[in-house]
Amino acid sequence: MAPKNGCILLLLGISISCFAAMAQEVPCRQMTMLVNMLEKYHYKPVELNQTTSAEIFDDFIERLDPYGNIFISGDIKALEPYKNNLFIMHSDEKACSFLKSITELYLRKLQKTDTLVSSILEHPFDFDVNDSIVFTGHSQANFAANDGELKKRWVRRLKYKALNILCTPAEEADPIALDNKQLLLKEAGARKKLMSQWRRFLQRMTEHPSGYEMFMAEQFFNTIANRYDPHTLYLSAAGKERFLLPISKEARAFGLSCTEGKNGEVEIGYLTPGGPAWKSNQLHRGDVLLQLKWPEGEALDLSYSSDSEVDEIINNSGYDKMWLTVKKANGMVSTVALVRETIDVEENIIAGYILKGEKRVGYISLPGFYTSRDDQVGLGCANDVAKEIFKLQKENIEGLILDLRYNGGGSLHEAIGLAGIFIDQGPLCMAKDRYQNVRLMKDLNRGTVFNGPLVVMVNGFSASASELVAAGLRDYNRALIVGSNTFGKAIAQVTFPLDSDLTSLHNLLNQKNRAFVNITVEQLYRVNGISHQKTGIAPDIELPELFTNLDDGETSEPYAILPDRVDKKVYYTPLPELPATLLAEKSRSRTEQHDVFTKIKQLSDSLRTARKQKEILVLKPAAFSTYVKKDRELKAFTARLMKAPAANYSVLATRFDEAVIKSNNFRKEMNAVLMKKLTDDIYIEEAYSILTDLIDTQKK
Amino acid sequence: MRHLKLSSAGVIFLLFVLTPSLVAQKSKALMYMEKINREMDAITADSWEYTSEVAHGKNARKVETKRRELVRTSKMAMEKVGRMDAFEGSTQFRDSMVSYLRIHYLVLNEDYEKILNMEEIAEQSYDRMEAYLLAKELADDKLDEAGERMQEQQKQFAAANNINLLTSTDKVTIKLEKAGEVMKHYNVVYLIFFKCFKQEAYLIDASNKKDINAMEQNKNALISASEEGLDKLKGVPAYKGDKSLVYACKSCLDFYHQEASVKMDGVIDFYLQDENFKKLKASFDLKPQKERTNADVSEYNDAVKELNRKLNAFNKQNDGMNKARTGALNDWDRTAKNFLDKHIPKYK
Repeated sequence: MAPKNGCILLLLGISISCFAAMAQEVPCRQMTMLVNMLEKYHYKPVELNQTTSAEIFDDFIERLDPYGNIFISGDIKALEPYKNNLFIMHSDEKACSFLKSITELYLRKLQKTDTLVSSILEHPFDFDVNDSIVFTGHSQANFAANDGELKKRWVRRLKYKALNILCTPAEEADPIALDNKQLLLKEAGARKKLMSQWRRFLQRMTEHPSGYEMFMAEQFFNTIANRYDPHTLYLSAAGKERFLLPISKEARAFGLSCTEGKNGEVEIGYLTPGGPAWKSNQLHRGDVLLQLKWPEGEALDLSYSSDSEVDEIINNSGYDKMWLTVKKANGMVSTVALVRETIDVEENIIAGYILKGEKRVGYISLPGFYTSRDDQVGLGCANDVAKEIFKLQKENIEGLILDLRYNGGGSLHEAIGLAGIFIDQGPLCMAKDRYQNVRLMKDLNRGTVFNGPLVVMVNGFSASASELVAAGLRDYNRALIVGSNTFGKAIAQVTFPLDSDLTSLHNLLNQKNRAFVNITVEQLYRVNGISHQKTGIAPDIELPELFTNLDDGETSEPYAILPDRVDKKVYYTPLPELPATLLAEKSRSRTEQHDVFTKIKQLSDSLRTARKQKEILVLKPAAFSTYVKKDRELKAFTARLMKAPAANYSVLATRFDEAVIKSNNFRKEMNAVLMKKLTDDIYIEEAYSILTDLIDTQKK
Repeated sequence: MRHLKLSSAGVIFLLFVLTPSLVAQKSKALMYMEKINREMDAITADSWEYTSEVAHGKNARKVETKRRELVRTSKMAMEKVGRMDAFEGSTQFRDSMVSYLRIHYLVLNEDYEKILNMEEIAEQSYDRMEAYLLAKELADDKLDEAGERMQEQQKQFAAANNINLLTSTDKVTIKLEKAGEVMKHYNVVYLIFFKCFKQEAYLIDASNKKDINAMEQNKNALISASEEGLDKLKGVPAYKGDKSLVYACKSCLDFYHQEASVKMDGVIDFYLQDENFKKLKASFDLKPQKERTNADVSEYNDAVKELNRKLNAFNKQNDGMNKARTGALNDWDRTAKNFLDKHIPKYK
């Protein structure tokens, strides 16, 4: 252990000296360019005054140390003179020296914390001491008054983490079934694991591919960008690669790549449309990666790994199959099996199914609005959805369910194209720029592909382009929107090269190592002039959701752009109103009788109450086991709840697709999994009943 | 395809209906009115030359030359009338005439943005053609309004100065009126034809790009447009016993309807079959040769045969459609030309 520590400290030492030798010119120049770009292009530029300076200061410190584990209050005090003056007299000189100071300080503190963590983990934990931690939900970090208090925090934190490791099921035995003595036999192993987790966390910063000081600069730039709004981002050359990832044309891939989440966790940043991850229908952008397991060997813990590290592990392993454990945006944890596959660039990547029961209806799920591989206006998902509808119409469907749950958005052009499938012609939404110019966005084609009864499924994770589709179809009275309130992102971004004067974009884009900035440039409005920014789209028929309101989407973001409205006369011809109230009542009476929906509602209410209360967790194996057991039971219960086979329909593939599905074992396997998923989803089941009611009322 | 400026007929006849001839004492007022009228006569003469060239001429450049002459005359008329003095302190009659001539001039030049909110028009329209037609319609309305205002001022001026107004019945006026009726019939049928013609162009474009979404939407739009057009055609009466234009339009619309409602599904179906075949082929190719079973090979061979059969049928159908389309459009062109040639009087 000791030599290993020494080696790391030595590495840190080298980093410090390298850092000291490096000039701050590059980050400072980039910051000036960033601020200028934001000033020039942002939809609602922020005035960089004393107040915003203080906010950026606090946000940056929170970003670096969200739980108050690195800094003590004296450190923050020492930085205080910068707080209100980062951009004094329209100059970012102060901000630049602040970045330099905090970069030096943070590295020193990390080094100090490394010594602290190593010393704590050298000795066994004393679980006889009465220790506890309190969960209060998220609040701003308060910092330890001194090093002694900080040490106490770390002891508690590491104890908690060690207990977590001890109580996590290993392959051979369930820890809950073990007694204290047996559990404690594994204590040394847990400490070893914690040490390596901490080192990985440390290396992620100190040995960052762009260098430690650039890592810090990027964090700071993003703090500034986020002060404009949460979707305005600074993208380093490497970050941009991931953000604007072209669709992988690699031979065989799992079809996903990672990005770093707000709190440093590794998230799914991109799903290759049509790739195995996409087709699993169980993974979405923003899912946090927890664990990865290959067919052989132990599962890899992905917490504290860097996004690039995980990408490398996934892409360069020799295995063709993996099990990926992710935490969904709604807090649920699930494990998904993926098989490496050749991603066919020509392939139609959306599958339509027939739900056959009292009525014969079509079902299409669209997890994201992808566009063509070569350009922004070619044939993307709207065309693929149209193909599926063509096939489904050959099967004489009487209605259609379009599932946009968890669809985080994507190409606006495709969203317009998709809505156009269902409406004849006319405007679908409006966009307003910083100069108050309003432009209308219209259906691209006259005519429709599908005229029958339509239900669109949404939830709190349906954002941006999917919200526009739902809103457009609602405004034309074309579809019933079913599910829960959507995310509330009604703004559009454009990615600019950082030092762009926009005169030679092509050259700029082709230069390597260039940073980019993704800037919010427009706010989007419905045809009635109302913006659903922050508020989202309320469904016509609401279904009880387990985690409704636990995560509040755009409303939880303090710097989110505020909604307003545009006063513009828009010419469009809505269809006759749909019987939303009547069908909502029918749905409510069904869900109130439905055992699973009733339990979901009860559970959701109790979770909401629990969230507001403090939770004290005693850091002793017995108490912790009880806590884990309770938590596990809750998860098992909710997982069971969510999987209730639908009684009112069976799932069929279209005749068009049958031959293709049969042609390949992987397709057969994936298809079976997907079809099972469709029968096990109580929300689809209820959407089917609503659509059945809609078909009946429209027949009358 | 014959390209006819749709705006010409409406403008000409409105002008002419409004052009008065005066029988009254040679007073100052009469001379004032005659001076204005002379300008209108010049416009009428040029309008007639232009109309006749459109109907009987074969030379597009000559048609354009005549149009330019008409534009020039209108501009000069507007300027001349604009320079006239007030009559006994009043400029009302003169100004209403100038305002009318200005709108007339702008409409002739299709300079609609000076009289209409083109942005609003674009927003109300599906495409540029629809925006153009809507702008033309609204501009004609504006011209009508200006014409009415001018006519009212003319009447007031005449009444105040004891002048009797009589409608002109000279030869050119009669010919222009007649041509106006012909053009009115032509325009009604042409618009029905044109809507489907344009809609089919979108459909063909989508098909060339294999954009199934646009194909399906434009196919359904063409079905609606052709059905709506066929319905409208039933209500279009013969022009002096001549229904040739209506019949030619009907055969085009019948073709479009057949193409959209019957044939186009086959095209989309073929595209999707082709896509499926590519997937099957990819799966087949992935399997190493020694692992392929007899069933795999025979299934693949069957798929190849089936695709070839469909490809032949697809090509045959396309040839048939192309021939039918060319036939119907040639017939429409010929009929339209003959119709105008037959019914619009010759210039001299």
